[in-house]
Amino acid sequence: MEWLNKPETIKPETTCLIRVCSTRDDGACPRHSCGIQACLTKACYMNFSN
Amino acid sequence: MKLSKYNRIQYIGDDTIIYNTATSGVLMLDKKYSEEFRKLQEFNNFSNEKLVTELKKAQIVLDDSVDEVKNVQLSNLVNRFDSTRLSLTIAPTLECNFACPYCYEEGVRYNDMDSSIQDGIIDFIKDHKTISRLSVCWYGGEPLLKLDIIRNLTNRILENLGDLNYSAAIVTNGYLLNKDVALELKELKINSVQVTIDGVKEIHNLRRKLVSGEGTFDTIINNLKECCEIIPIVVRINVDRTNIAGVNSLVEFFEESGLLNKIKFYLAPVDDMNSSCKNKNCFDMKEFSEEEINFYQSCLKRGVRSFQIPKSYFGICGAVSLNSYVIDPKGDLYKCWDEIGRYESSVGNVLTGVESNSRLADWLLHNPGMENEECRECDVLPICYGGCAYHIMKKGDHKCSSIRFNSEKVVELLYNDR
Repeated sequence: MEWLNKPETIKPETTCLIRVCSTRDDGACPRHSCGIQACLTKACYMNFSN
Repeated sequence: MKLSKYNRIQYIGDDTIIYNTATSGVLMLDKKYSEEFRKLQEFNNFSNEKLVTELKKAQIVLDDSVDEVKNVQLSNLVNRFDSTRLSLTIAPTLECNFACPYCYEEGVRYNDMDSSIQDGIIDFIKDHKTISRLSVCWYGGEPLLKLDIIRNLTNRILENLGDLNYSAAIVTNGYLLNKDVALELKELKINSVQVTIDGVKEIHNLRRKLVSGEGTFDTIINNLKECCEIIPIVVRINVDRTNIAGVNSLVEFFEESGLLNKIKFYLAPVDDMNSSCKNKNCFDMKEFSEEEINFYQSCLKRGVRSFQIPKSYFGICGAVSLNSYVIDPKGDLYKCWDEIGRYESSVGNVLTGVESNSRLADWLLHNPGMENEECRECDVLPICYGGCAYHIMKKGDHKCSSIRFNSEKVVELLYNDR
């Protein structure tokens, strides 16, 4: 197996879903219990139902 | 587990190549893993942990619960409505020293930006209190005709920047881009210069000529040689059916003149924005995608890889994004570059603010990736999300990404050049 083009690197800080989907006053991810992260990471929202 | 709907799979000899358009990952499997992958495809056999771990990295396989189409839509919305970024395309003038026959700004108001509008831009930026990043693209007309305005506005932006992350670029015809100008642009935090060349001298001079009719090729090439080691330069080669035959000669010319490895360059199809292609000379995307492959091959022969696997950008362009505006010299705000200077298309003014008019709503609610069934089901949806919004809204057609038509060839080039 060899990557001819590596998949896009996940950059947790690049995207914040809070304004779009958070239902919690503390700004934490509404679907996960990651707690310390106010932002949903890309990895997180790409697997939104996990 | 399931296979992604955004996989494009091809076979070269005993190898299997999987390209996932959502993550841009391209994975090559040798004979042994190709067999394992076939089992996975045919029998849903996900038992080879090593293989599945790699496939997951590019989301080639996913958990059953993942709805990929919804995720693409979500990414589109999240990025479009990100209020931490402000992107401004600023035209200090709509005046131009060129008279290109295909210019879509034909007939717009030719004027310069006065100091009250420059004040308005500074206030407009300050009014965006939630931003942490500001990006500016200097545009025109020909922006270097008004370097004094770029200088003044940049200095004022930088003075008022605070903690904002700032980046800037410029789109210029390159005629006034000499060494001193390049050094100044660098001082002004401009980190990318886009210049357009339409072919070798004879072809370029027929299309990109001064208002007086004089050719511009020699001056631009000399300027590129002077500046390419001072500031990063990207050359856009506009092509249609009338000049495509000369593209290889241009690449050859870049090689002979020592520019080949010092600048980046790419092909772009001339677009029929204002019926500029009256003679039906514009390529459709399928035709263009074939020309693109010829161009990539020609560059590779000279040792330059001029292609890359496109990143999925989920259909985000400034026109459909919340915090992105094009500003003309009168301070009028637009969503799309192609509307600059046409007041009837504006969505406000820097002096009076953004108007919540129906034009703005149309751009921000534009959602072809979900509303058009063909796009929604397309396996390159993560890349183009329905294509250029202007095309769909104004002309009613979908301008697909060329990768929809040429990904197999691009991946093959990647494979052969590894």
